[in-house]
Amino acid sequence: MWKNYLLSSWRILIRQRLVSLIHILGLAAGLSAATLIYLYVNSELQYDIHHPDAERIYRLNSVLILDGQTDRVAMNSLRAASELADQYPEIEAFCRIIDIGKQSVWYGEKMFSEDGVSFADSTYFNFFSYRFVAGDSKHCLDQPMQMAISKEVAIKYFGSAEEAIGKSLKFARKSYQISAVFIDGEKETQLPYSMIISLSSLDRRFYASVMGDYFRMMAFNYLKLIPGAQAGILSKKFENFYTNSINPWIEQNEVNGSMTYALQPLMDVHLSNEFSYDFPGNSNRRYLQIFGIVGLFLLVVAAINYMNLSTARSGKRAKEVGIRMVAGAKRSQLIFQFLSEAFLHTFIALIFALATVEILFPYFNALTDKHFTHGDILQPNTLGALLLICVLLALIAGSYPAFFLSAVEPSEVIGMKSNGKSHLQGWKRYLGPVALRRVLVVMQFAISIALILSTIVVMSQLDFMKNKDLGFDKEGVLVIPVPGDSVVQASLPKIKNEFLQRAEVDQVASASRVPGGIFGKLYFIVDHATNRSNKILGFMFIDDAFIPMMGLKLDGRNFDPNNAADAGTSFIINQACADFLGWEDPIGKEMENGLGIRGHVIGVVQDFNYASLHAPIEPMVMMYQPKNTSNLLIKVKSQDGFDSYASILDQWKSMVPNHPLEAYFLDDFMNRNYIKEGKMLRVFSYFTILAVFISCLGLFGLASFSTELRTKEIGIRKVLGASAGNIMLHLTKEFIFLVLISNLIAWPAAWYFLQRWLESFAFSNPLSFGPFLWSSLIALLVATLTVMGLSLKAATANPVRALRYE
Amino acid sequence: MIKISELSKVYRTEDVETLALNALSLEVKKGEFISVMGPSGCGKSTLLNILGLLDNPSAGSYLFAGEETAQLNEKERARLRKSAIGFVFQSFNLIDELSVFENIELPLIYQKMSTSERKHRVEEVMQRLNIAHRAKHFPQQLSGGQQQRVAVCRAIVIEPKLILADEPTGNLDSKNGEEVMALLEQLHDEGATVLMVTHSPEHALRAERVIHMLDGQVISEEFTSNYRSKEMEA
Repeated sequence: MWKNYLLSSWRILIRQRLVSLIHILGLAAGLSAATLIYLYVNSELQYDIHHPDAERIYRLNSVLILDGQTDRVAMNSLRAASELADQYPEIEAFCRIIDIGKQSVWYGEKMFSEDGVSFADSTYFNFFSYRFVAGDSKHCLDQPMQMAISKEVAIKYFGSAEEAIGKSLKFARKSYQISAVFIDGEKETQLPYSMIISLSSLDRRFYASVMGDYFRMMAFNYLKLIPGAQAGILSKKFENFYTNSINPWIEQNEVNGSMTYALQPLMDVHLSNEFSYDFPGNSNRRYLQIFGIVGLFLLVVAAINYMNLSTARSGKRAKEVGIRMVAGAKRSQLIFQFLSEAFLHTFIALIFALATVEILFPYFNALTDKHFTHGDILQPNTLGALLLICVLLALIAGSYPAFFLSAVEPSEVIGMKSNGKSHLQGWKRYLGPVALRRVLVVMQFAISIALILSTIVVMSQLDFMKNKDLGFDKEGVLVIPVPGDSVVQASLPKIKNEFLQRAEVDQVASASRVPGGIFGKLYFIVDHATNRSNKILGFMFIDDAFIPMMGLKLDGRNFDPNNAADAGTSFIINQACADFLGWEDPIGKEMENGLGIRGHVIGVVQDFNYASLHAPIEPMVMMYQPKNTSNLLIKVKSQDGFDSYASILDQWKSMVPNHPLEAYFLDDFMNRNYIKEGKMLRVFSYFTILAVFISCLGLFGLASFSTELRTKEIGIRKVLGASAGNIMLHLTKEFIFLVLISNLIAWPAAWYFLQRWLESFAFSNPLSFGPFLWSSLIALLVATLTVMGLSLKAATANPVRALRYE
Repeated sequence: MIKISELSKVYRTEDVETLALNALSLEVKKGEFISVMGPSGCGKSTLLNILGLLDNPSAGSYLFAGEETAQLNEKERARLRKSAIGFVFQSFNLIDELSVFENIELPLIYQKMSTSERKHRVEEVMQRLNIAHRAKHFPQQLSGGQQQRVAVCRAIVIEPKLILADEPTGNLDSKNGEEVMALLEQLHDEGATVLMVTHSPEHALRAERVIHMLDGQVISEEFTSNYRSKEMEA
């Protein structure tokens, strides 16, 4: 019997090529999208699951409450993990990581700028699993001045991993001996480190000083619990630690606030945006959910297509069903037969889908910063998931046609000509192909319209974020990060001066941070009329040229290089800071920062968006520090002077020859904040096009079938005087009406979700009627074009042929 | 073989009620060849559907081979139908995607017969009706007469107790129609019980008994020259 079903299904597929092609293309489009989305989402969910004890590892985050202001921070002090491990037997081990970011690293004459440099406890490789290709994996961080590097770094400096062992690399005036080489990037991990130095290498005095401070947030702290220990129960036990250790410290240091810890499972870190100062490569669980929903939508659209076309052609199959029933088929056997057809179509579609995915990999990898290959599809869990998706898709897509077609009463169809009309009478008509077909087209286009609408809104928000007036002038500002080398730092005033001598240079400034980057926070003690309070405020160090260069509006006065007091006792705050502190007239108000600098406010700048538009403008304190700064900012007089910039960079290289040059434009740097949204936009666009394509495939198939059925009617209408235009309108109006109905479903659903998405931005374009109108017009245009060709062909055919055919 | 008593069939739609069969009574003996004639709308096809267990009557009794079938559900009707009744239709009703062999084999597949036995039976029947040389062809490659011959093969491959033919020559020219009638006569001579609906008086007279229907009732019966006396089968 199997053979009979498959044989019959295969032959129908070959005979009805156009219908079969539409079936398979629709399913293949849905499956290829679902495959790519599955690979991406699965990859994002795999971060750090490969470490042997991953389920027992937690990151110890901090929750700081200062004067009513709560900050949730991914980092912690250096003393937290070690003291907790001493006190709580549930903690098997701890590992602290100090991320020191980008460094200029030397080997002999070779020098490279290395990202991903960190100090870490000797337990690092017990916590986190890597494959080693050289050196001692177990003890490579036990001793001071030891370093483990990635194979890529080893090859860059030494030619091979083996050659690296025993050699030394130098940065920040210290040399570290390479004790091991590991392979980086094999598995997905939140840890972006290619050079890991033993924590015991830190200067002893520095280490001792930071170990005395619970509020010096400078390290990621990881804890490994003993088997069976519950993180929730352990967290509650930390109350003793707060009472006996942290709170007395707070009281002793006169801090008006509290600190508690939050244990975060290792495998949750990558998808979390809950804590500030987290890894920049973190993803967003919400975007994963959105992609998952989009993938599901596309499968639903593909399944709807299949159901729609199958039921539309049910009249032609009803006769076959009647014959089989007369020949003795049971209903269950017929259901099985139609499901077999659905399975055959789906598995052929899977082959097409996998071929499509293989072709799309380069583009998808560029979009997602992944490195998928066909090997990823062949992984057992991926193959299993794909097969399950196919089975479910086949069952869903094939179920309605199977149950509907097998409900034929043989006596109703055996004597009939095969004219495609419903075999259902009475109330059953409403379950029949005509009614359901309409519902399914409406659903398909509702999903497509919602996706088009979402794409337009995401595009609009991205455009808004890139072009919004941020309250400062970011155009044409060249930023050169200044190496921490003390020699370079000391020569900075001279370097600035030399640039200012250039005719094409308009302004030169310096700042510890630039807009668009991550701003640090500092503890401040603030004077009020009757009391003092503790606040955590954003801060940056600038020189006197920064505010004029950025074009910031300032009340009060700027820092004065001729006023020695400004370096120690002057603060400029933003309006958000003044509002936050409750100062109506901030000029002259006293405050003291956590570094011991006490002074007063000399100026207030109008708020400007120094951070991403995801977040509101937070309070900011600017302090004067013309030397020892991290960034040089240069603005030229003419915006067209690319040659000017090139020449400036050449001059820098001649003045700072011992460090690699890194420079960028400020506006490019700020746009980096929106990379995620940019990628989301591109993904949405591609999948929207796919959804519309699948919907149009289905519409084309239905329109084709409908036109074929109405050949006689069209012939009669033409004989009676209808023009080609009349016929086209008559044939298309049904489908166009359905697309218009789709808006009634798409608009409210899309409005709800898009409104919530926009609310996640501190700054956004309000949701207007424009995108709704455009999405509907686009859907209408596409639908009209899809059916127009067919209706034109029918409308211009010779009516005599149509009538003779009948 | 068949005993119908006071059989009625009413079709109801939202607006109209149609009395297709009106308290019809009829007996068919085993081995008889009956033809049914009447104008369009007289209830011939309805009668055939009920006799073939494709439909249930609204009222009355239908004994088939001694078993009351009037109120059986579809599952029970299918069980009886697939082993006992063979159908031959005016429009052949072959499945275009299946070859001649596969079309004939179809009822045996639904009876879950083994592959070897199915092959044996189908080949036997094809030889008998002289269509074996077309076994691998598809319906659209055959003439009308050949298609009807295949349909007859399919009807008899299950060795049915009853063959029902609904205007089997209606779509055929005279030559092919004559061939099909000859086939039915041959089957009858071999012992089959045949009930045929036809518009052709000439073909009707090839049966043993002709029943005339009008407005859902039997209005007359006549025995033809082919009539042979039969014992009643219980």
